[in-house]
Amino acid sequence: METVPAKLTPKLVNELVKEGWYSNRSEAVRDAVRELVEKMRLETLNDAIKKDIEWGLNG
Amino acid sequence: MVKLIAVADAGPLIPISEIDLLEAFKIFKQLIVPPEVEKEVKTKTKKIPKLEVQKLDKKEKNLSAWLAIKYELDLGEAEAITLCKTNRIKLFLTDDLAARITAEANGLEPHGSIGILLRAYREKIFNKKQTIQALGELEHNSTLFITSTLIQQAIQAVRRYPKRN
Repeated sequence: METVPAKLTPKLVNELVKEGWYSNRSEAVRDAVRELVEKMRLETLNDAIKKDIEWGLNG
Repeated sequence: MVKLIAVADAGPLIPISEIDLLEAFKIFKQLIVPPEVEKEVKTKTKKIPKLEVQKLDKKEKNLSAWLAIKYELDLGEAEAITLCKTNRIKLFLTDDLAARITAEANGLEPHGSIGILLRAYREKIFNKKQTIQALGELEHNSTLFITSTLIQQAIQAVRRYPKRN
């Protein structure tokens, strides 16, 4: 796996590990990025459907 | 009715065929697909009205290959975008997000299954009840990836459309 360097406040991810949500910080960051990608994808899809509705009914 | 000319990817052709509403494509005067898309839809759809297959010349094939690599598209999507560009057709039909983004980046106007069904409603091919039912079927009985929330947005827009039943 390729390493992507990123600076972030340790407190952000340390707590997730400390509370037992993730076994290590890498796993927490990977999951966060995966969720971000999915969120962006749904937002893009949402925009696309709005454009479809506008074109379909009024365009 | 303003008759439209478009190039299509397999995206909207397959889901709209799956819910048996191919009359929706009557909004188009001309509907062009590249050979790669025809190959894909031939086995998965019934006969689509106004569908024309347009072969790509060598230069167009090279452009398609470049688009497919640069934007990580399927060959069918890349060929369809190429035909839009070389035929100067702005309207590109796709349900694929990456293909939509690429099309917009190349100055095209991409629209998908939901847009086509709503346009067919506006052009009186379907009435309000049929359109709302079609949107529900698109969610439940087709292979289109769509969320319930987005289908509900489209249904609400049809319900609010003031001009006709």
